Amino acid sequence: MGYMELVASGLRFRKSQIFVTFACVSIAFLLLGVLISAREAFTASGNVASSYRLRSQGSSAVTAPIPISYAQKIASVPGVKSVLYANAEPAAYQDDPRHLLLQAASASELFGMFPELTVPDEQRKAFLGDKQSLLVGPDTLKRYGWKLGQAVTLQTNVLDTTGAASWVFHVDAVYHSDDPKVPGDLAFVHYTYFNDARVGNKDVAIGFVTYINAPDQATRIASTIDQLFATSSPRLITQPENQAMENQLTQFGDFSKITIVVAGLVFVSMLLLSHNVWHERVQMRRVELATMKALGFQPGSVLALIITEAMTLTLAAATCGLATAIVLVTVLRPLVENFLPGFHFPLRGIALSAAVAIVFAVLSSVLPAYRASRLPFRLSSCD
Amino acid sequence: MSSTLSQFLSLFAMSIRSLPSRASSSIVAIVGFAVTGGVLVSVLALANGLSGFWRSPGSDDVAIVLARSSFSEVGSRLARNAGSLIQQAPGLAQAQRGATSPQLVTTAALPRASDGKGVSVLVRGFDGAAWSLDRDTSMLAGHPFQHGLDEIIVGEKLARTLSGIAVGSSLQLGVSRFKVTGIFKEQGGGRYESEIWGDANQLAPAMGDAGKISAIYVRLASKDDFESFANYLMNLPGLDVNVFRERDYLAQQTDRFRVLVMIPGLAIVSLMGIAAMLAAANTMLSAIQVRLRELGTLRAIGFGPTAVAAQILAEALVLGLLGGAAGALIAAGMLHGESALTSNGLSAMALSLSVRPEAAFAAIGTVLLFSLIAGAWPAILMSRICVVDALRKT
Repeated sequence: MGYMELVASGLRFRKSQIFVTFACVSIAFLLLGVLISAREAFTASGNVASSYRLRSQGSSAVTAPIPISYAQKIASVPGVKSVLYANAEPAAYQDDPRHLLLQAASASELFGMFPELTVPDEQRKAFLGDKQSLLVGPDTLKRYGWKLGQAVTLQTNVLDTTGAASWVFHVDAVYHSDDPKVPGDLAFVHYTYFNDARVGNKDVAIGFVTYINAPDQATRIASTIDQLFATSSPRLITQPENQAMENQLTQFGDFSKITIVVAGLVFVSMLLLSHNVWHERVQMRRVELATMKALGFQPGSVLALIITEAMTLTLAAATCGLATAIVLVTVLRPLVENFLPGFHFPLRGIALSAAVAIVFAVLSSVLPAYRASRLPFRLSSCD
Repeated sequence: MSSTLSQFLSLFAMSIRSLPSRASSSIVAIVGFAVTGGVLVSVLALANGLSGFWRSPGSDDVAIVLARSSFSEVGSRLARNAGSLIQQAPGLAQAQRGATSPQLVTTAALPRASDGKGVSVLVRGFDGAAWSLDRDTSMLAGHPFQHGLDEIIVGEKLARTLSGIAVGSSLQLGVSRFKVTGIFKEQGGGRYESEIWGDANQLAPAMGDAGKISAIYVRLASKDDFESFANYLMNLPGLDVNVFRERDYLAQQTDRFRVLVMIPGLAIVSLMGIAAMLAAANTMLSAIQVRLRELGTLRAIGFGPTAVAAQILAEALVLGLLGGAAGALIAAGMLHGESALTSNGLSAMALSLSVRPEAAFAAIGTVLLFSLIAGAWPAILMSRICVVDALRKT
């Protein structure tokens, strides 16, 4: 009989208790998995490029127009590599009720600014060479059923000189990204296309993105930029990109504290439960365990057997709970992406959960296992 | 029947007296129920804080005029003269003074008291004499801001959650420093207590919105006038606006928050409830396992199956009551009277978390229901058991 069969036969003792414990531990890991995923959304992007970027917007209203001449002044700050200015224009395709947000950006800076957007070279060239080109993500392409190279007409709020609000774009490029925090439904167009033909609101942008040479200078350069426009109207508020995202999300509350409290409470109560279960099982199987010792099992191997049983059960339950969490998160992701960009289960979450599972299994079974290893060969009559 | 009852009572008394001998597994069940009860009370306290925030559901006869592209006051910008265009619209409550109130709504980043991190706070500027449309607000300390001066008043709940706010202190809003002349409260503590109020004519230039307003609150002659009023404005050339009923506008703002906080909160509570239920079922299962011979003996000497099953249920309920009450009390003690600062995505919401007795009882009741379900499985198992088998079991 192999060792794992011995473990399995131990786990077959009182199946209802094993089932309940399995379910409880699964639920704890399901919660852990979902909390890890939500935490991803609440922490700064781990993206390297993101730490090189500063975001500036007008100091008061969310959409205050700012003259694009600001970009040249920002570019003159030492340590700044390039500056991109952008407008955001909502657009609709045919009768589709889902809106598309077109980022009308200064195209020449686009690819240098967002290296996490992977675009094949020839598409990149096509995008830069055509003022009417449109760069979209894979989700947008799928949503509208567009093909590369297709010409599409979008309805926007921007009026051209003839008074029309529909604009023709060429789907010249599609980006892909390995970073799960990059949404799949971004859309970029040339700033100049709108700006040259629109009536009113010319030469203004709603925000600037600045690429700097060294991430450790981010805070200093951000405040230098803000001082540059301290007496202008509108003034600018500039923040390092990852800090801006984090600030926005911490507004909802101290998420990491809540996560730790909830996960801690659940795990402590489940640890108590598991410990109790193993304690009871050793108590009930004391005759069997004493027999094993009488047959020549060393105390150490009895100890190892109980811990291995606990480990097997915990790891199985953790795998089940995490798998459910990952499925749940994948299903929920499209629904919550607007509120929680980057809500996803990170790969390193598996390592963290595995570590938690191992510690959990050992903590819950080490004392009962020690007791089992110390069982006397002959049980006293009162036992 | 009465014999079943007296059987049950004596069994129940016995099982309670023997609880200490099964202390460790009972404590596990109690802790599980306590955690569930505690988290449930916290979610209910948050829900209560929220319903306090949205205390006023808005009225049907107040319309809010926003810029066409905006769905919230904060992002909306209109030219100052929009206010006078609106005076001509049909359906206005003409008789009352201040039937229209143009307001500037913007946000400022201010440090919160807990950790000094900046939160985006809603700043509302009022134009001229139209202070506000008869909101139930009163000054708690200090005096109202004076028009034409760089003075502001701060909502009471907001003042408690931000750092360094007191009557006489000053705040940097945009390019100017504003003096805090008073702290105001709203009757019942609604959303206005999360705001800073001042004179629109002073705030607009300071915040970079000179000559702009965000929203115009309009009191209509009756709620049936909304359609004609909205149609008139939406078709008025030169005015790009969206018109909402105040009630609809507020409902839309509430929904956003509900999706972000309430649904995840309740999902976590139900998962924890299931886990606690399973933990309690486990406790009860091992309790009957240990007491199998004892329970078999009881059946053999004439105790009925109903009495034995009811006794197991009653024990589960006692565990649920102990755990639920402990959890609810601990959570209530920690949260009651605290204030929490959260956000609806655009501006800060200061909530006061109070635990009403109903909420605590509801939480304990839910935990009792969980414990009843948890006790049902072993109780059914026990009432069906073959007495002879139970007696032979070691």
